[in-house]
Amino acid sequence: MLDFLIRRVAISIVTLFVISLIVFTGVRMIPGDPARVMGGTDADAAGLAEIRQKYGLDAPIALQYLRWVGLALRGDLGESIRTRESVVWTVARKLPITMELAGLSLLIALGIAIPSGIFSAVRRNTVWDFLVNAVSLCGLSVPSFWLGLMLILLLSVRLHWLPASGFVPPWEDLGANLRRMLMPAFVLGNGLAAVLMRQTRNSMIEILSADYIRTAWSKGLAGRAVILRHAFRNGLIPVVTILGLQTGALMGGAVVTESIFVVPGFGRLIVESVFTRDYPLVQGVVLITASTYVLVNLLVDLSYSLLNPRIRIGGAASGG
Amino acid sequence: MAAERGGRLWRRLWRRPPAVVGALVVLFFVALAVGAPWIATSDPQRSDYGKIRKAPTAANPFGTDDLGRDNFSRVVWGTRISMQAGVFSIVLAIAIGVPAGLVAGYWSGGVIDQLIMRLTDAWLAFPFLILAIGLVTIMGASLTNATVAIGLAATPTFIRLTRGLVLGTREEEYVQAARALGAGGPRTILRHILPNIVSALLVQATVSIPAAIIAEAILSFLGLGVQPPTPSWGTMLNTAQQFLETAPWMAWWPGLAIFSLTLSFNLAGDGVRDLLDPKDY
Repeated sequence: MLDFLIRRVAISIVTLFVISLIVFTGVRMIPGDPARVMGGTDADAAGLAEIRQKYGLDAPIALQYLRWVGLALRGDLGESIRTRESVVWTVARKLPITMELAGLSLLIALGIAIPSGIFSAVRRNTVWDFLVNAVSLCGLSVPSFWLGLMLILLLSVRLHWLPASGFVPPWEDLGANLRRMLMPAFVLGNGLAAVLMRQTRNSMIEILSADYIRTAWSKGLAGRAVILRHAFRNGLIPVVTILGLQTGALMGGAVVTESIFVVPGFGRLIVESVFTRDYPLVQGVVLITASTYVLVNLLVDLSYSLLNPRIRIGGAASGG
Repeated sequence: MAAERGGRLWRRLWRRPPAVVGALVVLFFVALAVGAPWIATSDPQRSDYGKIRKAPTAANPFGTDDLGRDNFSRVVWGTRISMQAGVFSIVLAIAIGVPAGLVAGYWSGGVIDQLIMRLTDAWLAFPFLILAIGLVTIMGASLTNATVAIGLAATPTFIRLTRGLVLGTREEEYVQAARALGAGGPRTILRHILPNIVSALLVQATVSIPAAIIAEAILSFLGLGVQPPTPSWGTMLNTAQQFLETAPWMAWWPGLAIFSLTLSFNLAGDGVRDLLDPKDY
């Protein structure tokens, strides 16, 4: 167990190191003077000199990298060109909004995927199974941003049920907050629901044919007890893996959803910072996103052992 | 014998009507892309200020947009852009990913394998869309750059898949036999391993192409891909968003086109997977 933990953590650290190299190199590939890139076109000579000094831009490239990583580890990712606020602070302000959105969409996705996945596995090869699969295939294929536009068209423009866009902080008015979050959360959760439903169905089908389930049936246990207590728990393991791997898609999806529904979160921040050529902000956001992904998947791998104590070693690691 | 095998494939394919329909719709879109100049005869970029945001009529079956351009023409011509971006980006991903995966898998455990795989792990940690956005930021927004960015973002999937397949194939007896007969690494990889993993790579491509098409549409929707006035489904939806209340038809057709194309690709892809990997059934 400890071996597995150490190996898994070590791989994550190496991955984080390579990620930092990629991001560092990426920013250096932007044409032009790096100080100008970090400081923006409005920066004056004194400002540029300050940036050169801070990042040691006159030093050899390896030293520049070390200095940059050192600052990043201490939470200093530079400051936004546009607002002159620190990147970390900007992200920290936007992140809770996206986390609320992602959390809600996760709830919606699980709420749709798990019951329908179990249902279609139990009713395998019936009309119901076929229908659930058809809906999930549509969910998988529909472009999220178009789904968003169509929902706005139907629920806001035509029916006036929900506001089309905007954001109200939950502590000011929770009801208003949720009314505005419902559509974006559904749009963001839709693709995830489709993926999770397929996974739940597959792993439930596999498990329902296992020997110990047959035993449970033949003991005379009620159907619901067999499915929920015996099968579902083990069927959940692959679902959790997919969930971890889908964090990235969720963060990418937030970019689109927040743009459509004008939610002032992390995703919209990325798009805005790209348009305003706010390179330090883009750099910080990309670095934070990738690191989060690595950490989430580390947690997912470690959580295996909680869900199923038999899984302890190598087999659980998806690493190549 | 080849004909007989082809016949069997056909019969198996006919038993899966959704896959056949999917494949036919994909072919239909290919025909649209190739035949755009003959199908959509009115210029997709010509503005007619007398016909701004007009609802669908016989002359403009999909209506007109905010500059009075024919939406039908724009959707048809947009097929070219989407197909181009979807196919070329995945070709790029295969061109980089498959050789890298072959090398990493055949000499697995070696320094090169470690190097490739750690880079792949890190690359995979960037969410597909965010990586593509980051790359477009560095390279600048255009169709070519968006295609390259999507291709690069899709590359690690192919590296991982190829490497895994090579690891599975490497120990097969026919590969061992080829090596025992003195075939070197490159020859073994190209003549004995690659032909046996092509079908699995093909299946992945049928999954990746619709994802790439959606990614291009998203980048263009965000303004990071195709630049106006070139007609693309993503940019059309971007414009349509501003006129949802007054001209909803502007949003219907480009989205419906993306939806039906990706749905068909997925249906056809499921069929291809069943055909090539019958043991699932």
